[in-house]
Amino acid sequence: MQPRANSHGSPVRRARHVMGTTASIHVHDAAPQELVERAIDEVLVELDRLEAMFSTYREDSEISRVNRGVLHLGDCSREVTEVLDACTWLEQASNGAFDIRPQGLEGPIDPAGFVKGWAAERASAALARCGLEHWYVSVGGDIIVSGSPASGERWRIGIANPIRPGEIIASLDVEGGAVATSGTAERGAHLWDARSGAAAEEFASVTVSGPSLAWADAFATTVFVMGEAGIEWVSQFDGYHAVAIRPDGTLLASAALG
Amino acid sequence: MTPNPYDPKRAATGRNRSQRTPSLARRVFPMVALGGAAGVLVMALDHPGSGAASLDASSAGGTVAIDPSATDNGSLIVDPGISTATSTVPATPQRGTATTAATAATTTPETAATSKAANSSNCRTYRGPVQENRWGPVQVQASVSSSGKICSVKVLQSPTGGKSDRINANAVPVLNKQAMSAQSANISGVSGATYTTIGYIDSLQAILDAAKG
Repeated sequence: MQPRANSHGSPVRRARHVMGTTASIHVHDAAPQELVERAIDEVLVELDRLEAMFSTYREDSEISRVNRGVLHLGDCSREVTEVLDACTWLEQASNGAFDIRPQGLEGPIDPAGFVKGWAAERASAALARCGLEHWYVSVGGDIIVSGSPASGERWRIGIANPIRPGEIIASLDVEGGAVATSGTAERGAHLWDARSGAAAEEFASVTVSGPSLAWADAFATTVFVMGEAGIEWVSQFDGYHAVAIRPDGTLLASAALG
Repeated sequence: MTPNPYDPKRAATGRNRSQRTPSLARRVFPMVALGGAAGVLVMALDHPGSGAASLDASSAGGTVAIDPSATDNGSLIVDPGISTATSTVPATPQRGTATTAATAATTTPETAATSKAANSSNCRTYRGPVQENRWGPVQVQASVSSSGKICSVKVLQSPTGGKSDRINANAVPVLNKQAMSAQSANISGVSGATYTTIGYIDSLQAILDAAKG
């Protein structure tokens, strides 16, 4: 663990509705309240800005305008370009398991499988820029943490039981980085219908931890679609580990997680 | 390998690749791979400049078939040291069996697979062309069964990228397999898939926030 200069203080927590879900931000640094509140404001402002850019529910978002044919991909913002490039990379690296055109080549693009984690990671960088070191950001269950909740402790992230809502089926103790989970709603691969849908039914949910929330989120979606082979696939990437929950409630985890 | 995690500095200076519309071939590669040899041949012909657009077809046992010894221009590009990530994935008995990559123009999966005819499984391995992206080069190898099920997908090339310097990737998370109360005092938050958690995650997080506030 890297040395941390900041000591811990009484946590400051704030939650707000954004991106169709709830963003929850906890800051555990011993820092002036005013600084912490301003940093949290910055995170929320950035989430709002990115939502306006990417939301398929907003007619004026760049993604919606691209899908209506009134905005050319080459004229998109740097952020949209970056996300679509990353999605294209992952579509290829996953052999199509990750797919932002669920209706086929001529259909609309929907990079939602990448955007939520990516946006949360990007927005949370404001906390670090403000000098904060010990914080937790969750956007609808996609989580990125830095530092520690208290001296010598790790962040403990519960994994929701996909079969019995309201229960925690397992948990991950992480020092820093991301935890993201995908399930049926994130499945978007028309391609995999050709496989009798068998793989997509292997798991009830897949949780991926790793250094980057953008990729952990996208990998969780990818592994969910791939099924069991995806557990090995994701282990090729440094620092990324998967925990899958089968429909019968049993766990299947990357070897490194024991 | 490193999946080139998001890096704001790279994002600010990177080439704007989206100004180039991806070729149809790039978009349809996965379907082509599923389609079999004829499709892969089309891909190879569509990428005459890609030296790695060779087809490696082989069969292997078990439900997961990683061919560790496929060669490309004589050099080993498949990492044989990849760890078996799960306890329930069958071993790959064919690991270490040499298979020479054949050129796509002259070889079909059938003939290549014949060289390993002793295998009981019907998973065949297909290798796609090297694709370039702002995030780096990527080449995928997929094993597909005769019924169209993906046995395995492996990234043969992926870019190296900078990691966020505040993340210690060596700090492997500790997985606690025990179920616990959602209101456990030790839990900072809950990660869950959207469909199971619409409302639930949000409300639980609110409870956790309030309880600790």
